[in-house]
Amino acid sequence: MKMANPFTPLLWAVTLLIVMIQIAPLVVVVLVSFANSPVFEVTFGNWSLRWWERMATARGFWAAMELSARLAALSTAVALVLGTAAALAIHRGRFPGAALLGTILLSPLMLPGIVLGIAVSQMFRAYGVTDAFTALAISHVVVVMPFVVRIMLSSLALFDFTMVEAARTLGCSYGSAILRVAVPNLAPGLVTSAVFGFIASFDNYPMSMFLVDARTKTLPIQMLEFLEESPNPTIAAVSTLLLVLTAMLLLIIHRASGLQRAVIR
Amino acid sequence: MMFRPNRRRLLGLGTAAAAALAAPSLVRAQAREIVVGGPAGMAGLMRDEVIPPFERASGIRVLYEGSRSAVNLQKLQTQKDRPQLSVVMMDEDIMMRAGNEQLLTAAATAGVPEMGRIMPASIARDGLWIRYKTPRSAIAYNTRRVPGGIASWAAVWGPEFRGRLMVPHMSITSTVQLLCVAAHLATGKPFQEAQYEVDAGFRKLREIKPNVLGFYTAGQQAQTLLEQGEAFAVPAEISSYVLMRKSEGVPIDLNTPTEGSFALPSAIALVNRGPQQDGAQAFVNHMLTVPIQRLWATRLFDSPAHPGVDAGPGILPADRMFNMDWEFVSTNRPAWIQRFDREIAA
Amino acid sequence: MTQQRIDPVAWLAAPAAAYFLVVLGLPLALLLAASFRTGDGIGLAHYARILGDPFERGVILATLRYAALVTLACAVFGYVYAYAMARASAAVQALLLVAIVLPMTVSVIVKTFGWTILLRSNGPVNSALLAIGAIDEPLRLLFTETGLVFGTASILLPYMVLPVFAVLRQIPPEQHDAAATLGAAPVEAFIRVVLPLTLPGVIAGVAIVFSMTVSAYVIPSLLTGAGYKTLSKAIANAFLVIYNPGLGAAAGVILLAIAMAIVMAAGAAAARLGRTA
Repeated sequence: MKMANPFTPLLWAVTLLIVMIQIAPLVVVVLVSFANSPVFEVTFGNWSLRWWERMATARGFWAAMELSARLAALSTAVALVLGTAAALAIHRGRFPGAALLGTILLSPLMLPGIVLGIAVSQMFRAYGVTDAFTALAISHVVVVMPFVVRIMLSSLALFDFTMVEAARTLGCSYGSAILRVAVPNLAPGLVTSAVFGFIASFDNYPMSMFLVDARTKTLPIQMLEFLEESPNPTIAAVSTLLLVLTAMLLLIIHRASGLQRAVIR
Repeated sequence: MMFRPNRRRLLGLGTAAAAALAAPSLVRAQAREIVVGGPAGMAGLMRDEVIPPFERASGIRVLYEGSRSAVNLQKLQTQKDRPQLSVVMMDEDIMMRAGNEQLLTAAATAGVPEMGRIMPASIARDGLWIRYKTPRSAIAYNTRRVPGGIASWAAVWGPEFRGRLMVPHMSITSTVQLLCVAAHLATGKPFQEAQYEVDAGFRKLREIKPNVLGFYTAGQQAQTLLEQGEAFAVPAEISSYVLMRKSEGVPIDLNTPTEGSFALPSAIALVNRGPQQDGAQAFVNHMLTVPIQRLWATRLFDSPAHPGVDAGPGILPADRMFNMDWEFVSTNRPAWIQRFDREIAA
Repeated sequence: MTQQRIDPVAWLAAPAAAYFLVVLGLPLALLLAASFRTGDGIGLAHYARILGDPFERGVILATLRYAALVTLACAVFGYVYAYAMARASAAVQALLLVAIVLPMTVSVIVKTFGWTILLRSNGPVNSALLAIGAIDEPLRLLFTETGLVFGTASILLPYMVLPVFAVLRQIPPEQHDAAATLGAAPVEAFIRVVLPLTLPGVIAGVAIVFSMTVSAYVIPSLLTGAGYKTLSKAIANAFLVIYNPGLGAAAGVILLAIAMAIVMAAGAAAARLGRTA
């Protein structure tokens, strides 16, 4: 007995508009990557693959890509563990200062990356940390954590903990109760945290700027270097490649477990 | 192409392992390396053409770290006690600040013999830093949008540029030259005197506002708008960007204003207490040799510091460009930036 | 049943808290110390200079206004999008999800370049508006506050959609339908049942979007250049071009204090709202 909702057409109209706004610049970027022009510009009817070749042979590009992926995976993994545990504690623990701790764990998001970068690089200097990858990994965890804590807090708010108790009364051990009941229910939150966290690290520029060195260069830093050398469409090719890789990753997740179950639930 | 870096790394590993087995002394020789900090925009040219001949000749490995001048200065300050950089390349006004903070150490002909052959005017503060090349600063314009070119600095105040100029924010060095131009146009005094007429300069600069599409702090944004033709001109851009892009077929050009062009010297210096001082000196020397100096002219269209290099047509010798009083600029720029924010870009 | 004053679960926060104490606490302590260091000793001169100057106060207000507008836009449109996703069929849902996740992988710089081509005076948006006669001459869309808010909101929208969507999916659909079956009009059912239940997701999204906007540096630099002053740009200038780290540190501390206070207050207010609803 559903009633017709007068707002439904409006809902879909707005959603469609948002899809167009989200996708439009990406279409432009993909077109630019095939431009037969040294200018970052769409050249209709005059396509070429020269910027893709330029990207593939550009010195340092693949190394930067690999470094950024490794860095993002590592910092996201660490932050997921630390952040989920902290969110659980803040949600369930009811200890004094829980709300303040939640906000402190969010605070790296509120500081301009440049301030964070300068302050953190001075700290590493004081601790004697000279290895750039170590410095990047340690500080990227701080940038990823806010996403994990905030999203897991909201996921936990709707999670019914009596379900874990129920599973235990049905004979599950605490560990398997968590694995069978809590993890699937919290999966949307965990996946969302991982996606945000990975991107926060992978796309970080202002903080990394102070931590990279000649040997250890992340993708955003390398891309800006290309751009400073010449603002040509190479970066459009890089972005299109990332788009394709992301789309393929989503497709694999979809195939492997069904997008609905893995990403959505 | 995908496996290229891996193959290179494997090769590197193989050579390193072979060397380690062959002779321990070779390992030490291999380990000699210096880190050079410089502009990100020069990274490609440095790594492909400038550094390899030096590495072959000296056996010293060079790592090039590309960053904005301000970030390089920040790194020097953070690493003051134990610097990682041996050599630094920055804009002159930032060099001045680094020099004042004792972050640099002077070079001399004993370690850098080419200093005796370059133009004496290229050597600043008795070798504390060296202007290894001098880009020319003038008005960059889109040749499709302004086919007739731009004759003078005064022209960009005209109504035909309404809403079509990308003007750099005072935090970008070439803006101090625009301020000097504005003062010159307001007072009629030559650049040499006009550069000190700051109040008149700010008053005149305010009149350019109707022509401004945007005040930029990220150079790439302005460059893209100029190349696409959304912006018609960028008052105060430098030869290394404009003429290099022009040679790649981009429809832009750098004018030669009747009032004169400006010099925006690129400087190189030894880092105070930096590692491998002798290697650092050898590298600075390499940057001043004729073959490398020729690269600045032919690839970047900047004016070389070595008189033995024929710069070719279209490249003004450094002494025909106006070089500002950088001491004055460096001291006053923080105040100008705040004033610019309040009076011009508000 | 164990009766303890502090739930032992609270200790799970210890590793994260310890990590932050070491990796963030020390840098923040350095920052705080730098903010009190003036040319001739220790004092509040930097704070006085920022808070006592109408121009600087204007920059703080402009930053908050910018963050508020972006957060509001994201909350409204992000909620609508997440709600549509939750109600869509499996296939449409997957497509909507892809449409919101894909843009996140393209760097802000490149996305801005893409927008520039769309919004410039002879770009498709202006051409379309001219063609349908909505405008007589090209609108100036680049380097305006509207462009800044629009651009930032569109870049940060995924950060609102996904948290809201994550909690929307946790609500059993029967709960929504039940309210409608019991006679509540759809809109009323939504306001009384769905909205309060999804509030945690909205709070998460608001906190993330607000924090990211208030500290954004790259986005406003690209979208408005120096035209629109934000605290974050002023801080970057203080460190990198004015060479006054004390002033930059003080501005950073002020920014952090204001942002944390607002996020905490919003969280507390929303929690109270959630209880009374």
